[in-house]
Amino acid sequence: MNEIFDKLLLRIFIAFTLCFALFLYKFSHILLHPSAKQYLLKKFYPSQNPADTLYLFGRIIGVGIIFSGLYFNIENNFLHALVVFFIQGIVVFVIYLVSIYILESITLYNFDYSDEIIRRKNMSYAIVVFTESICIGIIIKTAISVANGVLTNLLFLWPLSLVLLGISAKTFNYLSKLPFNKLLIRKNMALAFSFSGHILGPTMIIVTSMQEQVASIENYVFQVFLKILLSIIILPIFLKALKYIFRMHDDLLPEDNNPNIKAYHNFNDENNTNVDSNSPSLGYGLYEGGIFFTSCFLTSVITTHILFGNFYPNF
Amino acid sequence: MNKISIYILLVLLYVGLSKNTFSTFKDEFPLIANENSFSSYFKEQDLFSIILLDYIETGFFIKTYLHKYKIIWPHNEPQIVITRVRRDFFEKHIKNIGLSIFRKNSKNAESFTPLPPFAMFVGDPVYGHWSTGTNKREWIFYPSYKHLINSIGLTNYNVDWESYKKMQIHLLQNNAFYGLHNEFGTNGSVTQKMVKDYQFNKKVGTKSFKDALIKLIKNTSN
Repeated sequence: MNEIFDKLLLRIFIAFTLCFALFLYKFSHILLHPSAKQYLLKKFYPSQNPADTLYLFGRIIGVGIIFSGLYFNIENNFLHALVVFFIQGIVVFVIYLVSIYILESITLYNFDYSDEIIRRKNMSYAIVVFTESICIGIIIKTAISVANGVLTNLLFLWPLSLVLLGISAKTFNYLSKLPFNKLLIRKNMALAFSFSGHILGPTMIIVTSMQEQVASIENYVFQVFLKILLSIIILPIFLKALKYIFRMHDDLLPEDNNPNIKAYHNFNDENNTNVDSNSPSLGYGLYEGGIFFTSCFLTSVITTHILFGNFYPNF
Repeated sequence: MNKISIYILLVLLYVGLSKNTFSTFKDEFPLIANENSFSSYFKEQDLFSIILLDYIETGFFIKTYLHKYKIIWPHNEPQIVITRVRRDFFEKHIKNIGLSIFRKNSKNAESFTPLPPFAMFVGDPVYGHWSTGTNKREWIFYPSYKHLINSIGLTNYNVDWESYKKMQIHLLQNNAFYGLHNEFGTNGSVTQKMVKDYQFNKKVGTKSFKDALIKLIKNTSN
């Protein structure tokens, strides 16, 4: 009975420790993102600016995801476990914040938080940032898990995963028909959802590819690269198949709005639901993002969930 | 067309990199196209017999056929070799496990007729003699070649004159010989004892479909 209560009290104490760690995160966020100082230090009213609420919760949920990957091992000594936790916590804070800074520099270099969130209340921008925070959180959590508590492993897994995520984010302009910067300035929601799908999908692929034993760095990097290459080969199959099976018609007109092509679409499409790429509907964004995200999810099944076992025997 | 080219390039890159990472059968095991390849593969050897120990077919869409041989030399330890073979060669020797499928004698004469594993050594006065004074003539190896009895799987089998004569007839006719009472070959009793320690590990622990379904429905760990 004593043991049960003791364990319960320990859990409550560790919960408060986590809260304290979140408190420390809030201040480390201010150090690395000074522009956030004004909203992090004063009272926050979520209903005033939904874009700001979404932006903030992206960060918080990202931290929450990362913390869910940490462990308290109090088998030997409770104090040691606390110290180890705080050291890990500081390292992951820094990694998380640096990752956000780098990824936003890659994707949102034309945009500024105070302009888009505070002044313009741009929900599209908020959704993009929210998704990026979640993705970074998931990837760092995976890196922590693969590193198995070894900080040196984490310090090479993190840049590797960040590079892969950065490349994935940059491929949006090649994979999607939606002009990113133009539509984000116009607060277009289709763009937000499309981009979210295009970054969540590769995140899943990167996470499943990273689930390997780290025997040696070179071998590990090679294995990850091979899995990602395999994913790139399998992904188009699902992209095409999903569109074919569910009879999805890409009804987006090209950006230059060529009248000949427009006439062709009008003639051939009985529903005549062609959408202009300068103002795509929410449905189109959901379609683009959803198709890509689903395809990536299914691709991760093919790359990691097929167990060959002794199908090809070893001699 | 550009996308297709890039896709093909990616596939080739993946296959190329995987080949370097994972050793494949092609890298590990040499290819024996047919019996004529044995001479070139064992070109430094002038006197040997090749016994087929086992075979296995792997792969789903693209099959790979493997043979396991025991190379018997009169003066050296036998050697176990695994090779890849072509499909027609594989199908040709489905029934010939335990048989000698290739022999090369001291005069460089090659024989491809599937015969019992003792074919090269029994009847040659270099290795032994026929017993005299009993109703049934049996082959006896000289002491310096007694090790061949284990190598060719004759620990529980004595070669008699009748089997030997029958084997010679089959050799002249170029027909496979499985023993007077089919003791040799894939289902032969003598072969079963000889090859049991050399067989490929063919999917140990394979469950039946019924077992797999039952496991899906309920926990059968107890």
